[in-house]
Amino acid sequence: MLARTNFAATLAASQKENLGAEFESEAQTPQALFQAMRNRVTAAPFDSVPQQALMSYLQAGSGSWNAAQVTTRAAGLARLLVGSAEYQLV
Amino acid sequence: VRVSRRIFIRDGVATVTLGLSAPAFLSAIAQAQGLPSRRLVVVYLGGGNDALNTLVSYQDPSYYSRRPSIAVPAGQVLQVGSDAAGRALGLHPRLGGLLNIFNEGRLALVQRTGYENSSRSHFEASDIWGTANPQSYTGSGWLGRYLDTLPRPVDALAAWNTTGETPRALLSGTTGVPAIPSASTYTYASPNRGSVALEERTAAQIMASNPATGRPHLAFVNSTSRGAIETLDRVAQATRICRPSSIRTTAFALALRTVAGAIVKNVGSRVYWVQTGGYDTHAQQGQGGGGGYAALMGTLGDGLWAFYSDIRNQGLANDTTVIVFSEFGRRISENGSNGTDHGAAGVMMALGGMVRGGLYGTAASLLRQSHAGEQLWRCPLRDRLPICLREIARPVAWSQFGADTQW
Repeated sequence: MLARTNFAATLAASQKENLGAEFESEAQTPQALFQAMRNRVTAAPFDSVPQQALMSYLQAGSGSWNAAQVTTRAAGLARLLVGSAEYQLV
Repeated sequence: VRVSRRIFIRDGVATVTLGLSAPAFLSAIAQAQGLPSRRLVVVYLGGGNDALNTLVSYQDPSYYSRRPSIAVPAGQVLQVGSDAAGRALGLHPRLGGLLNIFNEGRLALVQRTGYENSSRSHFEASDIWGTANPQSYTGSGWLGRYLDTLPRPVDALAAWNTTGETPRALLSGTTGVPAIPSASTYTYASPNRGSVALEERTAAQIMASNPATGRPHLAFVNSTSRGAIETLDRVAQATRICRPSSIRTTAFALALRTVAGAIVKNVGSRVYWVQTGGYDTHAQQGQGGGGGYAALMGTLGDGLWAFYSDIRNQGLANDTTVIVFSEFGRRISENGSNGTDHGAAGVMMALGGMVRGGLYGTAASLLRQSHAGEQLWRCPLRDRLPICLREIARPVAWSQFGADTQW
C-alpha cells in the first residue's frame, strides 16, 4: 500500500514544476487550487474528513499565497489525491 | 502464568492433533504466557532444498553411489554426530555458522519432514506448507490464523513480511501483514521536503483515518494505509541496528539484518517472514560439495549465523526462535544434469537461545531398491499429523513459550 501511494509521490515530484505552471492561473486561493486539481485529477467522491484534511494542508503554509506556494502545494496535493484510497477505488 | 506440562499436553497437543494447525496451539500458549516480547522468525527456502546435501549421511555408501557427481565428500562435511538410528551425519561444509550454533546446543535439525502423497508441485507444496493442511492448499495460513487469535485491535506490525508478496502462511481472515522488504525504503515519500512534507504526511494520516461508513472497500483501503503510516517511525528504528556484522553481502543476510534491527529496537512484531530462493537445483548443482549449491549453503549459513550472533550479542537470543523449511526435498539420485529433481522429505531447522538443539528424526536408508529417503519420518506420537510441524513445534514451543517439551 505504501509503495503504491509513494508512486504518486514519484509522479508528483517529477512533474512538480509543470504542475505549478499548469495551475498557477487557476489557483488564486487554496480553495481554488483544490477545486481545480480535483476537477482535473479525479472524480472520486471525498467525505468531509479527507476534504478537510486536504484543505488544512493547503492552508498550512506560512506567508502569502504566491506562485512558489502554488508549486509546492500543487505537487503535495497531487500526491495526496492520487495516493488516496478514494482515488484508487474509482 | 506458566503453562504446566499437563496443560500443554491437554490443550496444545489436542489442538494440533485435531486442527492440524500450530497457530491455535501457539496462540493459546503465547497468550497464557503473556510473553509478547518473544518472536518467531520463519525462513523459507524457495525451490525445494536438497536436504540430503544439507545434512549429509556421509557414511552411507548409497549416498555416494547414487550421487557420484554432487555428493559432498565425507572428508568435507561438518560432523554433528549420529542420529537415533546410529547414522553419522554432517552439515554441508559451507554451513560453518550453523555448526557453531549446533555446538552451542541451540540448533535443532529435524530430518525427513514433509507430508504424504506430495504432487511435487512447487505451488501446491508451498501452499500446503502455508496452510499446514495437506487436504487444502487454499485459505488462510497457519501464521495468519495465529494472528487472528490476537486480541483486537491488532498491532499493524504484529507480523512483518520481508518479501514483496504475502506468503500463504501469513494470509489471515482479519489481520493484514505489511510487506517490508527494506526498512530503509519503508518511508512516506513526498514531492516536497521539510515541514511541508510533514504536513503532507499528517494530511494523509487524517485521510486514512476516515472510517468511510457505508463504504466497506474504502474503509478497508483506508485501514491498510493507516496501518502503514502509523508504523513508519517504528520500522525506521529497525535500520538503526547495533554494529554491522562483517557478513552482510546477500539479500538474505540483509533481510535478516533488518529483522535483527526490528527485534533489537523492539518494534513489537511477533512473527517475521524471510525467504531466499534458488533451491530448485535441477542442473549444475555443483560437484564435490562446491558450485551453485555450495553458494546457497554459504548464503544460508552465513546469514543465519550473522543474525544469531547479532541477536545473541544483544542478549535477545532467548526471546527469539528461527525455523527454517522448504516446500520439499529432492530425489536421492542425481539426474543427468548434475542436479536433483523434486523429491519429498526435507530437513527443517530450529535455532535460538532456548531451542533444545540436536538431531531429531532419523536419516533414511538410501539403498537403490528403496525409496525410503523420500519417505517421511513418522512422528513419535504416530498419529496422522500430515506435516511434521509438530516436531518442529516441539522445540519451538519450548523456546518460544516455555512449554515443557517432555511430552
